[in-house]
Amino acid sequence: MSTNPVRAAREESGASAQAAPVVRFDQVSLIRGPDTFALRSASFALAPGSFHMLTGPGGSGKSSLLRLIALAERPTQGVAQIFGRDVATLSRKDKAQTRRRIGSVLYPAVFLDHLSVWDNAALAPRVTDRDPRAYEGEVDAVLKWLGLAKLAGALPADLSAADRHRLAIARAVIGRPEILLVDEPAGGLEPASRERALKLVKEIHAAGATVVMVSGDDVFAVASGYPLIRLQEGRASLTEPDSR
Amino acid sequence: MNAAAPVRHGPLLASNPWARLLPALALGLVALVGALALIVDAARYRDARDLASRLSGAETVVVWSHGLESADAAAARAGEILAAAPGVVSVTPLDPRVGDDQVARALGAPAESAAGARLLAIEARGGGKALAESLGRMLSAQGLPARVRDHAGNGSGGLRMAGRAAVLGVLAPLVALVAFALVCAGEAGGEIGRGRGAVELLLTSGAADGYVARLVRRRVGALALTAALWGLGGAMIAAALASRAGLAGALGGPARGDLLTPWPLIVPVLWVAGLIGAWFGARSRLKSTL
Repeated sequence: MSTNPVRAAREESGASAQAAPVVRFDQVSLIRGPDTFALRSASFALAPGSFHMLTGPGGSGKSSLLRLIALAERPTQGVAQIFGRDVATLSRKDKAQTRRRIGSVLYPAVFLDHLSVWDNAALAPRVTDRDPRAYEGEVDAVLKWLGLAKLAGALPADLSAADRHRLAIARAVIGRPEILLVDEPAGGLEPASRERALKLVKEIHAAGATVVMVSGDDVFAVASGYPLIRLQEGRASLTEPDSR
Repeated sequence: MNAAAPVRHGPLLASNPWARLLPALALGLVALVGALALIVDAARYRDARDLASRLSGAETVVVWSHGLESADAAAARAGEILAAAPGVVSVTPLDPRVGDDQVARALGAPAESAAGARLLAIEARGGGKALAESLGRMLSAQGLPARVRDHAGNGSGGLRMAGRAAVLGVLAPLVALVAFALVCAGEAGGEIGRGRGAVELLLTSGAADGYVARLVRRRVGALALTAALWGLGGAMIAAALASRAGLAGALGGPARGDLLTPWPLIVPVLWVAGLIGAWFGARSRLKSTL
């Protein structure tokens, strides 16, 4: 039994529930125009608590795949299941509930430019009507961990590219999502910040979250030892570490 | 570094006052028309009700000369007879210089005698046609040529006309109310359209449609309340100016008592209509987002 409370709670929910993938794509395509496939017949499944690296050349559909999992887009074809439910059949209310269980660092990161760094980081718990006292401490802690505490009152437009990226990571991890989607976690960050960002992602994973992390650096992705989802011209293939 | 934003719990939707100028003007105009229609209606109805109240129990007697008795003498004698009649409270002779002959003709005095006619205004308890006929018979029995006209009928006729005007006067504010709600619905949709990026970010962060709709409704509601107050203020000023300029006799200008009468309720009613319109407008527009 795990000593981590989140993981322990999930373990108690039963073996059958654990075995069910949290994300299952079956022949999912995302078509943006005539003969323009952002994703082509992608099929894979992600077990709960797994950690996958998503790789592929630029324009292969990595960001589109993350946006589909984050319910920021709808599949054009195929069946996409998140937490065991077909996203095509989710009501708008259910979609909102599902999105609350997913944290995403999409690229390029979008912020509410009129709000402070602190408010942008606290967006997810705030829009779910949680009592501010319940999450203020967590927001402060995550901002501090990512080196953004001194910039809490700044506007996103005043941040450097690296700081904006760190803010996007902070926003995604606050609230401890069950699925964490990270697009280019090391993008634009100096080595020390990159290490901190990766460590935070790994901590969230250690707490039981399923992580999908995009990396344009194939060597880094392979060296990580995590299973790979490779995208090539919109087609996905899953590679386990043992098979490499 | 820009330090204008509050560090914590700032408004989730960015404010863009210029983008809201046109809907604000449209809402203000609709509110002004609605409020003015209600003010006119309230004033017209109040006038008609007052008139009916004044005319109830009011009789006018036309007396004219005959034989050797002058018109003035006939009027004086008629006054004494009528003052003693049961139900009569007061008898007031009217000034002959104000064109009694024309009035007398209008009230049915024979043309040849109208020039020598005198008028008496009677205030009676109850009044009505029966009293008018009874007074006419009394004067006739005393040898006085006279006609007695009861005015209660005129008052109820005016009230009926005011009733018809009231129906029209209620329809106009109702139309204004619907228009106000529709403009608010459109503005709520516009608010979501203008802030589409922010709204999609809220939705992907886990916000339910109801949460976003509440934010939009709050913002449009503030606009609706402001516009309703401006519209009401404009309508009061317009009514006062029209009344002062003699352009609208029925208006009489907003009186102090009008502040307590129902028509200022148009502000909260418009506000609620705006909130409802904004809610449905926002919910409807959100369906076309993520």
